[in-house]
Amino acid sequence: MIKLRNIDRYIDKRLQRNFILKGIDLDIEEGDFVSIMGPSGAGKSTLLNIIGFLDDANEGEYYFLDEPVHSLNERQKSEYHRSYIGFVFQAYHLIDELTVYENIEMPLLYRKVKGSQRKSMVADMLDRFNIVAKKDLFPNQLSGGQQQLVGVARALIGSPKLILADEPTGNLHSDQSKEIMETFKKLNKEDGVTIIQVTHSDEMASYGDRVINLQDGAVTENNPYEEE
Amino acid sequence: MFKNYIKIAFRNLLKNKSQTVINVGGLTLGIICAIVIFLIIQFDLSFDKWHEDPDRIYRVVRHETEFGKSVYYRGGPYPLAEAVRNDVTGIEYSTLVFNNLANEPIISYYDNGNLVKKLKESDFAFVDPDYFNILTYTWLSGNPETAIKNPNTAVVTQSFALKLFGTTDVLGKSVVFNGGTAADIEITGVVKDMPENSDFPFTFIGANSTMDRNGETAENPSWGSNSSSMQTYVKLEPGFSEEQINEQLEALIVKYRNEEVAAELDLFLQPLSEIHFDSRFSNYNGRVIEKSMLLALGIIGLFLLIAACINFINLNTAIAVSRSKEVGLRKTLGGTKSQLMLHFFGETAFITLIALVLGVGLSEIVLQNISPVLGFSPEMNLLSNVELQLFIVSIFLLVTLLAGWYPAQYLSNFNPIEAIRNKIQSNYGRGLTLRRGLIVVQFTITQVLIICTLIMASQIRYFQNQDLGFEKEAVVQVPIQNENMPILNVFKSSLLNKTTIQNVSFSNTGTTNNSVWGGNYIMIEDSIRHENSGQVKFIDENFIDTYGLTLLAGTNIQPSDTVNAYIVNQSFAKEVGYGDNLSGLIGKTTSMWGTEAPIVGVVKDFNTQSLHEGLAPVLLAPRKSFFLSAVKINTARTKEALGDIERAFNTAFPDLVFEYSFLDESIESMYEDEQRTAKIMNAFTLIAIIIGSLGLFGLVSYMSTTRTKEIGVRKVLGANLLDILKLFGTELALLTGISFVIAAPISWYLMRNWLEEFAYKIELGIGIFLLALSGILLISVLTIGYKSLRAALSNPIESLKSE
Repeated sequence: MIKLRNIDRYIDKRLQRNFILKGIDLDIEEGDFVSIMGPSGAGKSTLLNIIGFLDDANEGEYYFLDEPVHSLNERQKSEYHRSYIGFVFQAYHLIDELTVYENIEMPLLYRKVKGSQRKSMVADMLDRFNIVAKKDLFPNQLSGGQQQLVGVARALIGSPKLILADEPTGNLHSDQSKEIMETFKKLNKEDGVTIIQVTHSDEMASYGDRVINLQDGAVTENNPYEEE
Repeated sequence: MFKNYIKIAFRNLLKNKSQTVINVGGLTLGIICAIVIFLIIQFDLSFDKWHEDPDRIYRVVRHETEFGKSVYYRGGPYPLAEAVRNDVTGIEYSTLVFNNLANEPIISYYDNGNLVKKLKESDFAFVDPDYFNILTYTWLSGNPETAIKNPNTAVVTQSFALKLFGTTDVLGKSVVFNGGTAADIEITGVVKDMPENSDFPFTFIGANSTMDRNGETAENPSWGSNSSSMQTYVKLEPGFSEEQINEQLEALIVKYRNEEVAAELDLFLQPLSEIHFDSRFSNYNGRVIEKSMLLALGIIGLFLLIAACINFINLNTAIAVSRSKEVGLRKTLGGTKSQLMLHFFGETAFITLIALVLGVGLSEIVLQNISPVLGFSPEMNLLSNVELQLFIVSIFLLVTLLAGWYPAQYLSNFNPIEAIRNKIQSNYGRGLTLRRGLIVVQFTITQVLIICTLIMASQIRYFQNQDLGFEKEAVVQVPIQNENMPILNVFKSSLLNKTTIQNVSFSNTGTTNNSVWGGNYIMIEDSIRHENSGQVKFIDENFIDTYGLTLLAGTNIQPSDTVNAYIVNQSFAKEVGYGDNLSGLIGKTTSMWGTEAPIVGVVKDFNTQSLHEGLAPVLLAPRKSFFLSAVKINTARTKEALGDIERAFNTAFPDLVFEYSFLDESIESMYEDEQRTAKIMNAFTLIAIIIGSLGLFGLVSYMSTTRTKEIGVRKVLGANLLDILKLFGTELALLTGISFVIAAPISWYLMRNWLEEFAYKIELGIGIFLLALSGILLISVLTIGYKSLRAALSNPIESLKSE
């Protein structure tokens, strides 16, 4: 599903080039549940952003579903982005001015889904995460875990093939974290959604079936497909 | 989708209440100005457009070269209208319009056979029957073809009929028109009043032949005598051009006068569409506005709207930072740049719409209260005024585009990752950012307006304080229309008996008047002939004392019915070479209007017209041509004095209507135009200041919240109050300085042109500019003072705690 070849991401300062990512080669198959781990500043989030089309690599090739992302234009990227990828953030990033219902609905609006269909899709999602009663509340009226559930619901509403989660449980206490990770695991097993998460915690990583360690912008271990 | 935009826009508006008020309030003010100015311009451009075939209607005007100077007149000789009708090919209709405004006639009517003195009516005209074929009236009764065919007939307007008789059913009723027409005048038609946007506001339109028969025009029967009270209007036959007619008009002068006169005199056509706008000629409405003035007004309106848009742009790009997260999120959730731009445009459109609705509503209120300032009252008629509807739609599009494009572009361009991480800082960097540029534009607009307003105000004050060469206080002027000396003398002596009255004088026009009597004076001395145009005033022996003129040499005149002596002014003395030797002029003879008499005195120069005009040679002579009495009263007992004057007047002239005015007030009213302009400018300047202050306040309050942390850190590191205030103040002072450098020359140029109109004008010194600069600095300091002081005084522990 995802094929990265010799990906470089760097920032040019006056005299020197600072590499954030260097020579990344990575393959991820559909249905994987991957955890990216590593110390702060290793380039975990940058890698996730590149995979999620939010950032561009300076060098190298990136194939998403065998489509060369590095040569897609903005519009095409946006198209893929909408249809295949959902994001979950550490800080939830719900829009404060919108209710739970409206936050979940938003991706559908950008996808120009019809009103009645939108209604049933959002209702489904509220049902699935047991937050029907909270649909008219605003984000600041919810607890952190509830907000993250809304965040996951929002990421899922477009039935993405890939969920990218940047420390989804970083702001949550353990019970809430478990609930979110169980949700991910279920999605992965039952619906075959590919999940890539960035995490610091081994416990959270253990929900997945593969770990990628990053150190100073390079993959250092545990990439089974590379070895084959 | 759009519903979602509106929803979030609305919630954002509620969340940032102060910014909403500033955005909506500023835009609303700008929109009110734009709409009101649009309606004023529309009103002025609509004058006399509705007549049938307006492009074939013309006035015949006159251009003369007098002593090398070009002079334009609206009137012509009395026989012109008829000559044009008979001798010029291409003329369909031609009419004389006779309207002598110097003495307002009194119109009386019969009530059960008794004559009732009723009212003075200045909006009258005596015309030829063709008049109603040239200008379009709506007839309520009477026959347009025959109404004023016969002498002693008149057509009146609806409002006139109602005022006089209380009904419009007045056909066949008779009125008496004083001023030489002995016979009763029969009303033969009633027409609707001309709308307010007409330069022909006549309410009483009489048959010109009435005047003929009663000899009213007998004193001006010749081709040689021109008067602005005798104007000629024509309607051309289709297919004839102005040039074709102008050539024939020239031939008329040769035919009825001679080649010599034709060389210095031009008659030519002025299109109806120019009558409201050509300030070389006055009109019956009394208000001529140059199209360049309308353009200037339009530009002011546009600038005020732009200033309001600038607030919007500045504030929204500043706030943009706090919305960066939302932008980033929407992008990661699949929103494209164009969708986001549309979103932000939608928000701007929404705010604009609110401001527009408020603006239209408030404009209606402004319009209802603006007529005392404007002197006329344009109406909105939103539902039927298609041009206004189009204008409002274009304001909506223009403001949305102007105010919305940049913030939308700016916001939607955010990089989603940085935006989500709140890495976007308010780009409060160095150098010339767009925001600074816009503030400079806004400040420049405000400063130009402030400087212009200050200059206008000081010019008007200069007018008011200028020494006119006579005493304008405590003089009451009462118009009289009676040349019967015994009656005048009774009036005078009954006044002088009163202790409230100090002096009484009769004259033709008083010292200072819009009506100027003049001609060429001739003085021949040692075979050198001095001839030039001068003014003449017919006075009595009390004139100099009543008006407080200063006699510099010689003596006063003696009472006399005819011209037997002249008093001249300094300007006259200068022109004939006696500027340094006033007493040498005494005993010399001069002549005016063919009457030769010795000069007996010289008075100090005094202003005979408004200060738009300079001094002119003036000859004062005794002759009983009196239209105005001047009464010097005891100011401590003004009310009593006025009562005495009225009683004496009514006893002496039972047929006349008593009217009075204070000399200083009638002089003041000569500057009505300037005062009106100044008032309008005051209003616009105030609005520009409010819009500018609103924007500044919004920006500073936003800056003070975003920079709270920075201020906290600086204070912890030892910055004192002044250092923090400098943070806010330095930049502002710099921007004000830059805009002043731009604004000063622009306003200097504009105001120099404005002052050109006046013979007496202030010097454009640096003082007034510095005053404007300190004014705007003071306003800025007051605007930002509170917020920046509060930011500077805030406890750093509070602001740093949140981290």
